[in-house]
Amino acid sequence: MSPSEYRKLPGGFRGFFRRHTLWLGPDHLLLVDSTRFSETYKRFYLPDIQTIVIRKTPRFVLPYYWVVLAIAALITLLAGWSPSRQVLFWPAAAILGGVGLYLYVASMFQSCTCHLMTRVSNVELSSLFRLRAAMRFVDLIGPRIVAVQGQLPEGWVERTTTLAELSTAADRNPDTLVDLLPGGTFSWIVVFVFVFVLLDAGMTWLQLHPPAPVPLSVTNVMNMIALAVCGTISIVSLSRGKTRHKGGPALRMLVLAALFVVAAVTYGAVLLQSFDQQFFHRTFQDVLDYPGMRTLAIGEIVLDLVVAIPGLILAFRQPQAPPKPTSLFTGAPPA
Amino acid sequence: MAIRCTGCGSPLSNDVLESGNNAAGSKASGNNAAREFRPCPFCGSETLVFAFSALFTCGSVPTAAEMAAGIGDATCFYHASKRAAAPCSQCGRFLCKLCSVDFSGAVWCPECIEAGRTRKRVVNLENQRTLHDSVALALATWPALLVYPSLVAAPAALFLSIAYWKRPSSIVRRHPKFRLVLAMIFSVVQIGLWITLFVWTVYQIRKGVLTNVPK
Repeated sequence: MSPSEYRKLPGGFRGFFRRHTLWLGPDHLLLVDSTRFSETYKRFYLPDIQTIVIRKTPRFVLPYYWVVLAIAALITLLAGWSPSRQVLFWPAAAILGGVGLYLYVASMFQSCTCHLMTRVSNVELSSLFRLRAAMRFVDLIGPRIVAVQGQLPEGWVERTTTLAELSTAADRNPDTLVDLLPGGTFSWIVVFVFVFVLLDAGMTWLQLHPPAPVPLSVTNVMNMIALAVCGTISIVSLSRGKTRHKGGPALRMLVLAALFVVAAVTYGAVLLQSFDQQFFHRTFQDVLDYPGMRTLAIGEIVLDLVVAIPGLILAFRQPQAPPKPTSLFTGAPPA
Repeated sequence: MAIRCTGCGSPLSNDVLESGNNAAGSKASGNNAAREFRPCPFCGSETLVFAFSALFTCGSVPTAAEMAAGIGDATCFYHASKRAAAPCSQCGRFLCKLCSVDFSGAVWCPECIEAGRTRKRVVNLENQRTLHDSVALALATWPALLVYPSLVAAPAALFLSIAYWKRPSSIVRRHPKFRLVLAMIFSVVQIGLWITLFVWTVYQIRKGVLTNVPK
């Protein structure tokens, strides 16, 4: 089949690493899951599609490039705080305002999830996360499916209920998935991350107060360790997939937020210093003398506290991991 | 199978099932009022269901008696005791109802389907493709931002562009060669710049400009 035979369907999800799009072939839908260097295809033949279920969701989807733009604008705004670099301030403020306006407009569009069900599969179409796109998709695809399958029989709703009654035990079981992956349980490493973030806040606070100055290297080391630990945990927790324990997803988000805060502050500080050294050829003895650095430090303390305190509370509320089974003969865990 | 809420997994009530009221029918008849989101009776999620008649169709499974071969019947290539129902459109082998697969408007045998999948001769059987054109373009652009890596990446991009010129790219992309051409142009420009820089440096050294370091 030549590429021109596929027609792009409405919607599309563009993440930093993945992109999901839907295409219409002569007799099937093609779901394309694309990393930047490879594509995976899933086909749904029109005669097999049983139902399309659209559910409104309150979720707010923010494409990654807006986040990148907002971070870049925020850093530039901080860098342009000083009168000597005011040339940077207004463009950055304008970009940040634009991003804010986009977020406001985007929040007015209703989000949704769209599931496509066949007899043997139930797949969420990630590319259809906006209601408008989902409805356009149904308008486009619905008539084609009906043309292939024919109209629904009379009294189909009652027959569906009968089908539910006649269904097998496997059908009657709820579609909640078997938890193949380990769920989120209490872990000292997570507590360790948030303690580091709290320590980072404490060190930064001490650095701001002259009676008990802390060398910058200590704070930087704290930042780097917290950054490494947060990064590792984020990667591990993301690769482990979804946990159904209460508070698990929120905890994962907080670990990610900690990673973001520490990374943004560390690199923000480096950028502020390098701006002055590169463009204005100024070097200060005390790092806090760099314009914007005190604001950044106060922001760091506030964000550290906002992330670390709820994080610690949630981390301690996670259930303990079940004890490992022991061997009946040796009393030791089986190999 | 009952239609369940995609939020909580519980069966949806009749009024929710009717919410989409047959996607095509409502659109064709201009009956947009029928499309009304209705709450799931258990979790309250606003849901719209579009049902199609495949919900009520089930494939017919042939019985053993139907498939048993009688005297004088042609038999299946894979099952000697079963009656042949159709020949494979690719290899011509006789197939029983169990072995014949309706695929792309023709009857295929399992072996031809497997061969088509592994040899990537049938597009509809492919479930993954590597985008060599994207790899080549990435190699030709990103390392150039850091300048020095392009010394290795640009020739690599040029090699990939030439080596994978005939290899199929994305199934859905309309201009598969466009990225390869771009990658070739970028990499040739970079290689050209590196060669120019090298020649210029050698020329300057020969001229004695770069070696006149004050002691």
